[in-house]
Amino acid sequence: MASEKEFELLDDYISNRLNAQDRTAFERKIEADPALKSELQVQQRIAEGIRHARAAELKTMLQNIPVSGLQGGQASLGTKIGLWVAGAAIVGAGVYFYLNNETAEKVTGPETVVLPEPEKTAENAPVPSEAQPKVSDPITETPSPAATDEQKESTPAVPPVKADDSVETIAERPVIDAFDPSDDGNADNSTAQDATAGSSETVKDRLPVSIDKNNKKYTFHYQIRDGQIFLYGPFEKGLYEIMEFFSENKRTIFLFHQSKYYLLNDETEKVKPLAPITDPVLIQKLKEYRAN
Amino acid sequence: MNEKEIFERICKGDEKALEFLYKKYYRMMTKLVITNSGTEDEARDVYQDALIVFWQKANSGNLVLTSKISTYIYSICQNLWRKELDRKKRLSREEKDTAVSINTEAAERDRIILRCIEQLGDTCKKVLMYYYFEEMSMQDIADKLGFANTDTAKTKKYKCKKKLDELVKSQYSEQDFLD
Repeated sequence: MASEKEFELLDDYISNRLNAQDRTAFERKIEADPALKSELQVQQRIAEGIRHARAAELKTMLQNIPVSGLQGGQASLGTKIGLWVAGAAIVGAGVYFYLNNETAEKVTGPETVVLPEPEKTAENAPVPSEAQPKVSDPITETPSPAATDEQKESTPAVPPVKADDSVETIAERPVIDAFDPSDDGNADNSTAQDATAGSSETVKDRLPVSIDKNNKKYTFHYQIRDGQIFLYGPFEKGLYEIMEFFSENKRTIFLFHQSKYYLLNDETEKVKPLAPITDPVLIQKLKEYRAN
Repeated sequence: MNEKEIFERICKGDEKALEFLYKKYYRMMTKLVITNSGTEDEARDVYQDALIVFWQKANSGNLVLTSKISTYIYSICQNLWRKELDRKKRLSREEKDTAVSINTEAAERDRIILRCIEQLGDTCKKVLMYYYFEEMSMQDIADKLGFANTDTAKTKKYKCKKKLDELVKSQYSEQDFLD
């Protein structure tokens, strides 16, 4: 039987707590003492048993930690993502149609939405010449943000139309308040008619423009505030044009940038995304005004 | 909890931090085995073993982490799974009987010791486990178990080990532990 000191030495040896010198000395002693050698073997086995017991204890602890299984976890994660996306799409569509129909002035415009079905009642059209404009690529479109109160009430919520090559999809008419540069004489579109009856005045670059190319949040947006236009995005001086049209007390502002025209709604001071006008007739009219 | 915090808490023997780590990397680590012809059970087993190796090394104070924790654990998982695949291959070819008999003897010895450990009090059990498995210093053991100082921890460890030794030897022949 090992003495207390030997017992301690055995423990320190087994658990690697002896320095090199003591270790060598102890190994020499073991070689010279068969009983101590046997005792070392027993103590090593006991230490090994303690280690295994502790490892098993930790393993049991880990096994009792609830974690979702990999297969099931992945499936449920996929399901969660799917549900989240579907939910977000529904909410997004709902918000879009709600705002578009009920509070159109407040719409700052979703980034991209599926084309809504066209509005077919001519009397609701504020711009006579832009009835049911067709778009060649109907996959996505950003709706025009502006609409009058009358338009709001008369524009029903319509379900989105999926893009389909076999079906010619009609884009929602960009709802323009106050001014239409076209001279298409439609009696139901008095506002536009007023504007196009020769009383309107076109002014280029009257409002001062400030450009912010480095805004992280607004990458292709505009804002009309304090009698100034703020353009957010890659606008280079001289490579865009602001066109203002006045009809009685109404002012309508358009932006021309990289061959596209954008309506700038100045009814609110909110930052809004820029959505290109898609109505070919309106575009043609704006082109004509620019050319003059 | 950031990496540093987790590691510090693991080094101090904080089992909550181990639990946190287990959950955090569960998917990443088990995927390694599953995508390399392992089952989910095998994956879990390997990951748990790897985490225990990491825990043991961190607690012993011998681990200087030069990479991210996940990288370190991932490499342990890789090694363990490689070993397991080798073992499976070997077993499918030969030495089945010998391996089984060696494992049975070792497992029986472990069972004997475990039964004796269970007869010790909880503090004794912890002292011995921290001393042999975690390889904690006497100071750490004293801190963790609320002993007055390292001398108290040392004395406690000696008494506990002696008690275990007596239990083992009283119930089983010394020959059971010799080759």
